[in-house]
Amino acid sequence: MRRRVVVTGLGAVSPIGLSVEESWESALAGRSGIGTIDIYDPSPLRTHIAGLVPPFDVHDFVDPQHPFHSDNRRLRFGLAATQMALRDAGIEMDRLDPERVGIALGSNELQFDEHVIGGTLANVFNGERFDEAAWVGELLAHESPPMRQLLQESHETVSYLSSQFGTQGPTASYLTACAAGAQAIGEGYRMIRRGAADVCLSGGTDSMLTAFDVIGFTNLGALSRRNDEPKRASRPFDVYRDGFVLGEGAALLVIESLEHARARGARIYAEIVGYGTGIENHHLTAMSPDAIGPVTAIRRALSDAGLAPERIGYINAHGTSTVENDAAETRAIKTVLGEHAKNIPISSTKSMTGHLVAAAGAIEAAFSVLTLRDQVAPPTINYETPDPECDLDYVPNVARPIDVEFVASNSFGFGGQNVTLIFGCEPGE
Amino acid sequence: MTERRVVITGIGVVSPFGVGFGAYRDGLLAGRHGIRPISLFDASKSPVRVAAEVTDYHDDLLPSDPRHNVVLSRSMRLGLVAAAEAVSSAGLDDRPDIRAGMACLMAVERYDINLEDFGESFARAISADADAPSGFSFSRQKYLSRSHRAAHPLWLLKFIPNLAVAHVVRTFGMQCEANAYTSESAASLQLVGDAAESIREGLFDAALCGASDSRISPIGIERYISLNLLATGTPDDVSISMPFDRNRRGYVLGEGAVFLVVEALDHAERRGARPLAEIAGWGQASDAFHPYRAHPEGRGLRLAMAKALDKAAVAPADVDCVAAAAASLDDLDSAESVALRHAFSASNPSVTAPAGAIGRTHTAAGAFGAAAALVAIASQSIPPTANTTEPDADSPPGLVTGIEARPARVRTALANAVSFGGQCASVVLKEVES
Amino acid sequence: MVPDKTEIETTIASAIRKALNREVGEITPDTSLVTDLAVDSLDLVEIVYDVEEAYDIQLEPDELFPQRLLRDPDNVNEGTITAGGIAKLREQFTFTSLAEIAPGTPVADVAGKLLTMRVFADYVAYVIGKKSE
Repeated sequence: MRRRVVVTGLGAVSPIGLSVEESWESALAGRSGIGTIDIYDPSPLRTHIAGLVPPFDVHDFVDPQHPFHSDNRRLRFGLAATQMALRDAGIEMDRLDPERVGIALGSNELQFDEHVIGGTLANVFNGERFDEAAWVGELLAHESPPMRQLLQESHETVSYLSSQFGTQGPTASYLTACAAGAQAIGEGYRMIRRGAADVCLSGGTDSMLTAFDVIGFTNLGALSRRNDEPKRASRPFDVYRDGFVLGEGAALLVIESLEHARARGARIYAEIVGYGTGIENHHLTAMSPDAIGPVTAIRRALSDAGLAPERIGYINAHGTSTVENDAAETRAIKTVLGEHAKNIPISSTKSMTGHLVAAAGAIEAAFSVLTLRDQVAPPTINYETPDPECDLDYVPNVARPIDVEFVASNSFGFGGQNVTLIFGCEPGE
Repeated sequence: MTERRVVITGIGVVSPFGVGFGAYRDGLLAGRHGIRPISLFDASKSPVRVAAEVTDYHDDLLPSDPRHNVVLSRSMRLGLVAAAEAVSSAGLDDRPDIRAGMACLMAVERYDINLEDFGESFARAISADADAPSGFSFSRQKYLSRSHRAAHPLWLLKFIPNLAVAHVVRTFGMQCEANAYTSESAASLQLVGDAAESIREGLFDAALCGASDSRISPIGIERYISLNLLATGTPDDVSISMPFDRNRRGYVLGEGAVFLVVEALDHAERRGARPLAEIAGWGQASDAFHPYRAHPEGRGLRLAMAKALDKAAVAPADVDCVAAAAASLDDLDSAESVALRHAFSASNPSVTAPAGAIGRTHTAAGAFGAAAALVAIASQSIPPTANTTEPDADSPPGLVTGIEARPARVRTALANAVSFGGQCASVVLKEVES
Repeated sequence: MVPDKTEIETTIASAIRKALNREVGEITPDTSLVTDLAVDSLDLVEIVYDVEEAYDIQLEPDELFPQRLLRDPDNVNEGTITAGGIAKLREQFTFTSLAEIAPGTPVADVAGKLLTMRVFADYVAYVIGKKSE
């Protein structure tokens, strides 16, 4: 018999709160966390807005003696969210068998700072060309704090978490872009189900707000340019949506085998009952007309859970607020759920948080779990004018009490890797 | 109920020995190495002058849609070529039906900003400035508002790591599961175990699993020098990748790609595919010690090897060959030595470290280790560890050195991978009796 | 100064050839980027980018590809464009002489008709003109 996996702890920092409860309260109140980027001057860029995590002191969460690079936003968010999740789960690491604790984290690519690259290159420029050979030396001579950020590789957040919290089980970072946070939770669930660990710290952390990131997405035409109305910019499923809004943050779920959770008397939020992934290979970056990747992900998750589509009572949508995604996601939900699609509340909390990229699936999983706990669906804010291509119930603007037993959370990755997670209420005896 | 058996039915390699698994096999068995003066950028003033570069790659080898060449990073290119060979060698060229049902798991990682892609855009934001020490200064305002547009508009697609997977699944028509991992070197062995688990559970019958990595660049060099991990030297110092050698002084950057077709034995038999080896066991663990230094007792690797042997139901004494993770690093090689002595306290398996020949290939290193284990099983001989001439006093007693492969009966081989962050993975491969 | 239409069309055509990187045959003012050349979303990013660079202008995607207008329920009825929708299109596309579009034309076909070399070049001329005012 396969092991059952439950969620016993939640931790998060997001643009709408410095804890899971604060973020959840904001989400239910329909508060937007989007504003003008203030960590650098974004005015030369075409997009100036994003969802930023408010400042906080990472030393509230981790040992100040630990040698981490505290200027790295992904790392700071990840450390804070992990510590909060462990506290929430009532876990003291020294009481667990460290060999039975794993980490599965959604992460993202290396980041570059244009100051560092440009500054070092200016020093090896002769007016016409660069002395490439001298560039290595310039980079090496550059020892300012931004360099530390430059040096932060995708897998290192996990390395830090593992050394900070002393976990000796399997660890990995997942780099499936916008699906990474959900994929990490899914892989953590498999890790426990397969007996490779009893407990897994799973989720995602991300900050893709550097000027390079904004420029890269702007080039692709992916970002909202509603710079004058930041709080109204992320408007999933609304006909006047014009692209997604970048967000940042982290969410971590402590997940463990049901047996392990019961043995230590843990409070159980929910059970992870299904995980499915699907490839979209129609185009390098665009969704196919029949949204085969999302359809496959939802189907495989239902099949993993052994559930009929009618059992799903709420969907936390990927809902990015791009023209293409929201229409494709709507088609996919209708394809798999058929007539039932019209009856279930679907909402995109990205309308409030913005798109946390590799952490998006993680914070949305946390919101899905809290939807089950509180029996309430968070709203899709800024939903004003319906789009004929998006004709389902998106819980417009106001949270709604619901009666729900199973919820699904969709996360579709740029590049075609799509993930659906399904959570159920705390399992009975 | 007996567990579903999982085998490897295809392999593709792009290594510093050249394109193709055959080139890798022959290079390893002949005790050669692929380390040369750096040609991928002007390294003439760098403290690091050599690397294990892939030299015979060219774009005509790409199996992908040529329209996408502009958004392929070097690492993605090497990966696509290796993936094509793996698909071919598994006999899947004419089986789009099977490929559609396959998963794709890939270890991916970084893209480094380089002058080829970004030089012009930065040059336009740099102007004469009498106050600057070099006479020139960079204007951020200029770069953000205008100059950045000299770079290709789709450059982000080279940065986003999982696009490597997108190219592979598109090229080979795969529609099942996909995943992109990193745990640095361990990732490409972890995913072999994960694929095997999923196949056992019946989530799919076959998977294309692999990794590609290329970070021989000014920023790559800078990073690893600043962490004190790279061996420095002159362009003539090409023999400085010496795993387990007492004169080792850091690692050599390598690049390349390896893909494996991992498949259920029943599925392979039904379609008449010949297994290269069985994936008998796998294990993953972490040092939980330091963000980029190895635990001195090899804590994570000991646990990973124990899990892999246990899962394979193989006694340590039955392991004939170990493809070690050792990469000419002071701490990592010592940690692996301790871990191997601990795991094989009563036996003495032959040990080879492919990093001596191809440097440390980062995310691809685990898969290169698995490929070396396959070489040992296929050729029934242990490749020597290139460049290692004076093994450390504590090095594994079975370490094969010199320039000749050691003939041996190889039924079972173990491959190890250890990341800079202490993530460890081991895989046990077994000969498949015909 | 606004360059003449032929020059702009040449610029656009060379941006298309560069982005598509394959043999595309003759490109005339009536060539549709969508139906004749099968330009996809990534190709368009490259094409628009190169044209913007050539004239140092900023093209507004929604002015040239009126996705928003073509999704608005006021303009679309069961996937086809309404008479009101066509009127709105004409209001937006004052910079060009729009081809005949009949009410009831599927929205997908409208996009193909709209995105021709001629309309593209007229739009670029319009943006250059606005800039030099």
